[in-house]
Amino acid sequence: MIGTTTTALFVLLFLSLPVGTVLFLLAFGVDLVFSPFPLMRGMGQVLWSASDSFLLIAIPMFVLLGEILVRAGIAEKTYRALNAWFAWLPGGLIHANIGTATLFSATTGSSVATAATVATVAMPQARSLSYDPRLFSGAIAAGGTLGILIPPSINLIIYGFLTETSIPSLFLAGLVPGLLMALGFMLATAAICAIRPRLGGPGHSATWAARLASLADLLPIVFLFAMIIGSIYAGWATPTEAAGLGVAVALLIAAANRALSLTMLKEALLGTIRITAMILFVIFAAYVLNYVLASAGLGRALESFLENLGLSATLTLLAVMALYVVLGFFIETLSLMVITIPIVVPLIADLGYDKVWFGVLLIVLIEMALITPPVGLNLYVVQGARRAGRLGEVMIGAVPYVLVMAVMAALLVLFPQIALFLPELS
Amino acid sequence: MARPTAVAVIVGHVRRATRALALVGGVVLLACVGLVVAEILMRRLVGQTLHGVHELSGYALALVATWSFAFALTEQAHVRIDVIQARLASPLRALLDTVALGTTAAVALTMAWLAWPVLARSLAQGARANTPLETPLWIPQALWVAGWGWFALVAWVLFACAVVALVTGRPGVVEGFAGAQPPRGDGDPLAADRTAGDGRP
Repeated sequence: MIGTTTTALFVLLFLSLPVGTVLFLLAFGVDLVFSPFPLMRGMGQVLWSASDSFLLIAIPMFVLLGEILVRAGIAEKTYRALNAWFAWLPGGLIHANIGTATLFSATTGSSVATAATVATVAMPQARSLSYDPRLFSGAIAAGGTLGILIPPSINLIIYGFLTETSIPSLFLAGLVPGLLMALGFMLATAAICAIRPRLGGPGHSATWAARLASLADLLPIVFLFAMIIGSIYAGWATPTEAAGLGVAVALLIAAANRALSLTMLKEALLGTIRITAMILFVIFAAYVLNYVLASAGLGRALESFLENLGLSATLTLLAVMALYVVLGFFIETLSLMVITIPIVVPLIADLGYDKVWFGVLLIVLIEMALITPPVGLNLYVVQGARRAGRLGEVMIGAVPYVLVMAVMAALLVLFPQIALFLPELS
Repeated sequence: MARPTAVAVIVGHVRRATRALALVGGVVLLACVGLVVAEILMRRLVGQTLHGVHELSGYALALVATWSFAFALTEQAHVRIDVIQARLASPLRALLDTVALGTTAAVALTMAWLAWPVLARSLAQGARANTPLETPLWIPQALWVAGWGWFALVAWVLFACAVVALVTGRPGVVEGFAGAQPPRGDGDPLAADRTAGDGRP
């Protein structure tokens, strides 16, 4: 069953059928061929229970939050403030790229929104000062990926929904690895620019007065983060309620910046609905496929599959990680998550690994997929904002950051507590 | 300029209709945000909960999602893995685009057909939600089934348009409204966001 289904999956995917369509077709197919009793009649009920969901509405809300923030005119101010703080480091403005990406990651749940926002404000700077375009844009692409690791994260919500794992635990588990990775990006940048100062552009340092004054510009985004994450952990809001609260605060911030208008709101809503439909079509399909696979006896099939392989738990985990790196080159990341979770997560849990921990590890691997060619969405987003040069430059610039991610993945395997100690505290 | 072809006119109408419905969905989403915020404030400030916010938002998600699938289709926003397709010649690319539309239309119709019994049962049993609101379930479910129906309708119409364009030897037209990558235009960075669809987070 596993072999046939996987083969059919890849053939259909590479025929470029929509991913959601492929997953629905597989669900119908597995039911017809492998299921001891027909499940089709029950699929409607399964789908209704999946779609009538207060948890899932967090997804469009977080998307909307990102769409509003992108248009709220606070990215420039944040960028300038972080520049005042970090520009003395070797690598100058590149640190502001990473820092702004980190802050936006902590308020939006999406990598693309984060990368697009930072790219818009940062790119004009790179051109006027003489930064190496490769490293400069690579840092934005990589920094953007933090959007799905640092809470809130749409991808962690999807993971939690499909694997029945606690979303607040997942959010907490992603926080420390996310911040460590941001730190790793900055260390890598500083090291590279210390060795090859030509890449880093002119460093300059701001006065302490300027730095302190710039803190005021960071207030809105810090407040937003505190509202979203704080309300979840203070226990007065579920993730979905925090998302709603976040949207309301983002609207206020946009209004305070005089960026709120009917046109802006309309564009943000249409963008949100487009993205939401795209995400949910795939998720609903995965949910139905999940149900069919489980009913058709995936658990038993997996067990015998593993016995036949005869690998130890560690080797299996490494094989799974290698699989994500390889598939990540070719498959777009949401699809990669959704098509692999139904098979990989039961397998990993069966081996005795923690589902929260694996969720965080999975996200780090997915982040890698976002900036590795040929299919790396963030590379295209940054290139789209550059309007100059070649895509290849962004790809090369992203390489050091891919290495940082690989180190982070290794650390997570060696020291699971990096992810797990926060959720275990609460 | 030549008179617009029938295919172009139909695709244009479908696009406008799905866009209008998407905007309705957006407004519903904003209303949910309002309800959720009101609920939190009530709970924190007055110590009372606003009944039914979770339930109504759940229905809203089901409806907004299903009614928007057609919009994502006309916007060419549904995720597709085009690593291989992008390397093919134009007529072949258009053929795969048409197959993609056809299979999606078939799936949408099947789902509408599978969704129907859910509604039929609620109608027959007069089922109500097990909540303080006691919502008669047929109301959200009818809208939900209709949403799948709308998705199926749009997919079949676009599929028919694609077949017509294909057999009349205009593969470029098919790629224009059903290609894996919608035309990138205005150079606005958010266009990349729109093209690619964010969320492929």
